[in-house]
Amino acid sequence: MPHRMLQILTTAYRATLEEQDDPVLWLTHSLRNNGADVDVLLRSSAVNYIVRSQQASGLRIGDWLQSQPPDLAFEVGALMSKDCRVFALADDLAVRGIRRDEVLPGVGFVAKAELPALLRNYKHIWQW
Amino acid sequence: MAGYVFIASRDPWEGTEGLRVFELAGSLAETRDAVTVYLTENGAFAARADAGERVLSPLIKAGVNVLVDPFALQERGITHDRLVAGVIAAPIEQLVDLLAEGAPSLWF
Amino acid sequence: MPRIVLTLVLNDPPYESARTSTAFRIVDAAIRRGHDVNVFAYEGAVSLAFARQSPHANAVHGRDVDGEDHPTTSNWVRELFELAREQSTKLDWVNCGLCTDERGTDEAVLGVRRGSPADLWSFVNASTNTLVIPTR
Repeated sequence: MPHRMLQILTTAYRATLEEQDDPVLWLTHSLRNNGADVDVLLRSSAVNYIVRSQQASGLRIGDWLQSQPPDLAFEVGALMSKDCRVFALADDLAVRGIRRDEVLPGVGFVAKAELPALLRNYKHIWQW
Repeated sequence: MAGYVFIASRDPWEGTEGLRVFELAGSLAETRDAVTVYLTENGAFAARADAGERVLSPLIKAGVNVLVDPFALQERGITHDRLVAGVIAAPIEQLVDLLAEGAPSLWF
Repeated sequence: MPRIVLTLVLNDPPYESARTSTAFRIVDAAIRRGHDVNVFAYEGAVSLAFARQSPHANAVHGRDVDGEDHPTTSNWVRELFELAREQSTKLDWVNCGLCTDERGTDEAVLGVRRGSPADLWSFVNASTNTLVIPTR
């Protein structure tokens, strides 16, 4: 089996404001930049990362105003532009009321029942 | 007087823990205690229409004040026209005002 | 709104949880509202004010240190102390001493003091409200 890696993200917005990134998406970018054949599955709250209208600017603490807010939909899109496949669990989108017309184009939707078939494609599966 | 102030920070679809705040708010409302639920962080997911009605509409009907952090909404791309009916966007300063009233305040 | 005293108990270390930035937003908002604020930093939260944090570049985004402008929570603590001075309110930030010892984060930014649960108890008795922001 080829050394393909699947990153499964389950928790969204964990320290993303002060990290100015999602740490797992950032790491995935870094692994891809280093040549890893890596795809991403978003589930649970992380499915929200494909919502296009996210906007995290405006954080202010005292006189400090954030100049580089995270842009998580952009980061997901950027992974796809690097030929990473991004999947989102359709069941988790539906239960959260996220409509297909609200999300990034190009994302693969996977039903829970289809997960076993998806996972069989990967040698490394890291769940965060 | 604010009664109880519950800060709901967890995604309600992340298992039973995310629902506890709504269960308790509902129980208190049944006994006519005043309750305000402030949704922030991933708790703001509950405010999204076509999803959050299941947990929030019964509370709103029972008289619970449900507020949501506008920053958490924008961070998650939930626009104000896509809120569960009866949920009110309230900046964090309003949460501070509620805390300043001295009501027991619990973070979930 | 009359000035009150609000106490927050924080538990999370920096860069681990959304609760950190929300906690800082609450303290910031309370100070701007003219209130005095006490913070009791417990467990991992004692690292929030660790003076030797430093920002870094971001190679994934092609940004150098200045360009990334990465926040440090210790700088946020400094900003809050400065804000309190500007607003003529009082910010009292206490790190739990034993939590600090076991984590080795004993260098805190100016204004933060070492304390114990006795300080928390004093805070509680002097406050209109105390909010615990728990960790998981």
